[in-house]
Amino acid sequence: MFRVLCSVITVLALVVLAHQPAVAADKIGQVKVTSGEVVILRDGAEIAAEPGVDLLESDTVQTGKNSAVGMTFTDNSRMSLGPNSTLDLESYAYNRAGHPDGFDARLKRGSLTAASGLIAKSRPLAMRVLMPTTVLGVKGTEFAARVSGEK
Amino acid sequence: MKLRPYGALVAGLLVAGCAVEGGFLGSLTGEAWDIDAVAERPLQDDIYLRITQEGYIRLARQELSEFDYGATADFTSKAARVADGERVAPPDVKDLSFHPDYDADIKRASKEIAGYLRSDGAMLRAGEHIAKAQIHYECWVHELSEGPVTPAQTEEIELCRDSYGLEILIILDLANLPDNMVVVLPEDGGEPGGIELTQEGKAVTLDRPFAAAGTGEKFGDLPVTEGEIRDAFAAALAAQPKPPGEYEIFFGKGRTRVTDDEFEVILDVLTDIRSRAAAEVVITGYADAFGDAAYNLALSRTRAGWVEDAIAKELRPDEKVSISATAKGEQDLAVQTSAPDRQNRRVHILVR
Repeated sequence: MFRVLCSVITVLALVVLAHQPAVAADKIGQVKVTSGEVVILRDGAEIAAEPGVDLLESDTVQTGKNSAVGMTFTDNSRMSLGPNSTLDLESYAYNRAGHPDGFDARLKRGSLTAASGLIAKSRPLAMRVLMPTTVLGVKGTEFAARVSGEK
Repeated sequence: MKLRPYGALVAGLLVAGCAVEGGFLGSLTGEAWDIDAVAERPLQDDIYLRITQEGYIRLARQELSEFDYGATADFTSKAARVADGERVAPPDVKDLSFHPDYDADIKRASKEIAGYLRSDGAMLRAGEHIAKAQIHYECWVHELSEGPVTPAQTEEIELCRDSYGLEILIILDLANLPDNMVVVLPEDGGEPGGIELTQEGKAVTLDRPFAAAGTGEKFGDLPVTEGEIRDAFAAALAAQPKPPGEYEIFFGKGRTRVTDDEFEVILDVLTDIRSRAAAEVVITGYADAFGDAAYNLALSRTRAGWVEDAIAKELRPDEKVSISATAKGEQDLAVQTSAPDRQNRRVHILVR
């Protein structure tokens, strides 16, 4: 009986832990340049992107027609998007205790230019751009990519 | 074109007569007539030139077999110019008029082929097919210029036109940059490390500026020109933030303030901050490894704080700048020594 009770308590504790509100996310970067319509999608809300607005892990950055955005990240990498683009900042860890450095951004559609930073230098292919059919691993460089997205 | 038997006879007599008399055909002697001499010239390495060179020779032989000496001379001389390395422009027909069944189509083709010839990217990726299309276009224009359209000519005209159309279909697929692609950009200072693409178990490495690859259906190496990449990514490139600026200020032994000369660096930092829409300033203080570590850590913190205050004092309240300062004491020495060293008594300032 005691063992069953312990198991129930353990399961309950895990459930409670799993539903803890996330610790306030760390800033991973900042919007530096915008033109036209640029928004950040975060937890279901839409935030207008302007120079100085912070970026968090899991943000989605979206540009409209005739629009563009430029961003920097805390590892000194830089990214910019051209018009009609959607980029998910899927995962990002830089100097985070217990985490290897890594940066995965998913380009769903549109055009991206990027310059890698310190994460890309930490280990091979630590920085990646994920595209619908292809994975781009960064060895350390400036590059551009474009994706037609869903028609 | 095919001449009727009596036409061939008349043409043959004319040639014979004029050759003897040194008449108008005298002006067409020399290389313009000597298809074999031109055909023996080395082929150009460039695929567009090579195919047009061979194509004009083929057209010249065709016209000679049909006793059209004017066209033979014209195509032979074009082949000779290509053999010299010249890109020979096909005829522009916008001011001519043709049989109404073909007039609009040939004029559209004239503009189309001229457009591809002007596009460096299209020539790079589809040069072979642009050359083939050009030869079919030349054939088409020539056949249409032969006067009244007979049923036999219709067949020839349409063969040239349809062959042209098939090449254009291939060109359309190759000429423009694909919708899904990646490219390495040049960077200031240093060689790029490159990028690696993987797709369904296949991998491509790109490691020099303007090395590009198609992704998705067109996965693989992609020749591109710098100009078309700058055009295709113009909006994103224009929005790319400036690279970070890095500065260092050095301190006297045990000092937490800087000399007037070193203050110049603070002014450079301020100029950099003001060149950015929303600057972040990351200040890191260091000390040399001489003496007590805890004292050195405190010293580096005071140095970083002094720099932070110096920058903050110069900024107007409306200037959107975020400043952070940390201290590293004896960590990350610039010079590995436990002796006093000015290079280690520093504050690093990053502006991004």
